[in-house]
Amino acid sequence: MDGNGHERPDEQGLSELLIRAAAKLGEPRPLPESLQREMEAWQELAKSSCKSDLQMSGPIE
Amino acid sequence: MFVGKGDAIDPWGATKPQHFSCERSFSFFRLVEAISREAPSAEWVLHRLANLLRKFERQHPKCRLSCRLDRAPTGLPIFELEDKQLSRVLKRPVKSECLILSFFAAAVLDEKAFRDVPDDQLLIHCLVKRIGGLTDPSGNVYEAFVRPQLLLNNFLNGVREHSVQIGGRRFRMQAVYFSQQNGRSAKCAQSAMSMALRAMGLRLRDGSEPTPAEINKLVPVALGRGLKLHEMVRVFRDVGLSPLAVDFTKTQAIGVDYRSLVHAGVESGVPVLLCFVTRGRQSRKLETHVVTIFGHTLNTDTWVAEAEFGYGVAADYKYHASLHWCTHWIISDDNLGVFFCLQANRLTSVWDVFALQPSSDSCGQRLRDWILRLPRRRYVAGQLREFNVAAVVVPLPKASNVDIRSAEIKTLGHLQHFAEELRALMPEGTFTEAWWIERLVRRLTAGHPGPGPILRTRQIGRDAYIAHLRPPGGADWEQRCLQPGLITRLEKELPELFWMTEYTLVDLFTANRRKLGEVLWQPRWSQARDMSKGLLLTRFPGLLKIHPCNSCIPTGCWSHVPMLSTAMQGDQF
Repeated sequence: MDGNGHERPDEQGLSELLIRAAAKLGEPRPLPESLQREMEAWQELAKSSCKSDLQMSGPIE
Repeated sequence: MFVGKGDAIDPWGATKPQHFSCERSFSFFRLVEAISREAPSAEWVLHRLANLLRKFERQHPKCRLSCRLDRAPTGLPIFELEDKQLSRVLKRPVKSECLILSFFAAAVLDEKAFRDVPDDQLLIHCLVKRIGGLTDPSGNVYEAFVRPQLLLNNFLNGVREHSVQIGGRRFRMQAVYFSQQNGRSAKCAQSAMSMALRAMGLRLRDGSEPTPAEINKLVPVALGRGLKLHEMVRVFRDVGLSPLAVDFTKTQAIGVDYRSLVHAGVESGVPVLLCFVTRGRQSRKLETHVVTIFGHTLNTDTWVAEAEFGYGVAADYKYHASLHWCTHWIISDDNLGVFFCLQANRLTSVWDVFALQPSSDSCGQRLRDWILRLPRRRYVAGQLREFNVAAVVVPLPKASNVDIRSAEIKTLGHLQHFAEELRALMPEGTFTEAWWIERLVRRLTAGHPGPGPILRTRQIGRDAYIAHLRPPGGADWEQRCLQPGLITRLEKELPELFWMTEYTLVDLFTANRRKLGEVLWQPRWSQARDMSKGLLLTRFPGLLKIHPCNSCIPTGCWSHVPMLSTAMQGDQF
């Protein structure tokens, strides 16, 4: 028991709590809209860049 | 033949090997000037090599630097293909001549000393080429092998064992390969790609060394001109790589920070090609140049990395990217030489005008959104200027997602989810000995006044990851290790390659280079609107979760562990 009256679990109890907290991890969660937009922008950019005609020519004059 | 202080240097006229002491009274300027009279383009690169040698000498005052100069026989087979291509471009027969320049960290002043000197005393091996049969002198540094000991900065990829021949003797040297364009049959892209492929220890599909001339053979249409971005992609694919290539001059690149891609590539241990806009000094014409990035420097005292977060400048997502501690990229520029430090924020994006920090109420953000909604045909080209970043190519071994930042944002969301669940189960102060879990949860809490978590993303192979987990290197601060059975299980269940986002706290990162754990992601994550898609594994202090089988395993390792470092790195990072 700590000073606030909370019960302190031992190491095994702590592990069990962590397992419970982690149980829902990996379940589907919605992406923030801004991230969705950013991911799409990157993807579109990468797709079109593979066909890019940008030419590297930089000699030193 | 020994050349003394007052003796004239005639590198192109000598018929026998020449030995020089490069100690204080020796003039590197005189040597470089004598060589570059016949090969003018080599001057800049040779001065850079001399500069590195002088700095090395200052760091090692007991070392007695020396140099050996050999004339290579004409018609060397390695020049055959390039001479043939040059003849086609210049429309006249070309026969190249070559000087072999070797620098030692020992007094190699005669043939006997040369025979006896250990391989590891060879610091630089360099072939300077003179193109014969032209009216004006023309030549370049065909190739150079430079030992990383000449670089005083940390984190360097691309060091490989090379075998070089000098005066009938073969030396093996751990070095970084350098190649300079000849400006005629091959330009910067061929040189930069040659450096990248040699750094990765790769050969072309037909087994040949990836020299600029051999690269030209793969894209014959590019002979005499620079390669285009799609041609560079094609060459990398031809050797079995899956390059991530991004053209940052395209309108879709508005709001996209090229540095995150560069940083993730460098951290993943692959050389990165960085293309940017330059201007011809005579013609004033805009050109695109490409350099090869081999590493970076980290300054753990960097103020901006903490201040941007603290003062709300980078307020879109609540974490510090490890990129912000990276102050320089270590580059080889085929025009200027090896191991230069390019300030990580020196190159700008042509789209910076739209305010790169996506703040929801900013005018730049609204303008960016409006432009991105335009039909494709109405996309406008940006007004490029000098030192605008043009493109980045990361030659990764396997097809991967390009949006590194989304791995970090998804990792952050994942950690926040865990913190929420844990807070609901355990009020603050009840975490017993799990201080690090408690500290992580506190830093992830909205409104926490201190620094946030740090995230660092890289691609990594299963074998390297498993080695990272094994003791003694993988032990936590209290010397506790993961159970061998668990490591074996991971070895069986993990895919061959994945992205890893390590998470830690600022002071653990900057003081100890240690972390609280990591999240592993599949190399390609889908575009589905789901934060959890692509999750492979999460390691927390005390717990490991394998996501595909939804299995949670207590580890007993409650403290922080070392961040991952790879064998190619000079320092811990």
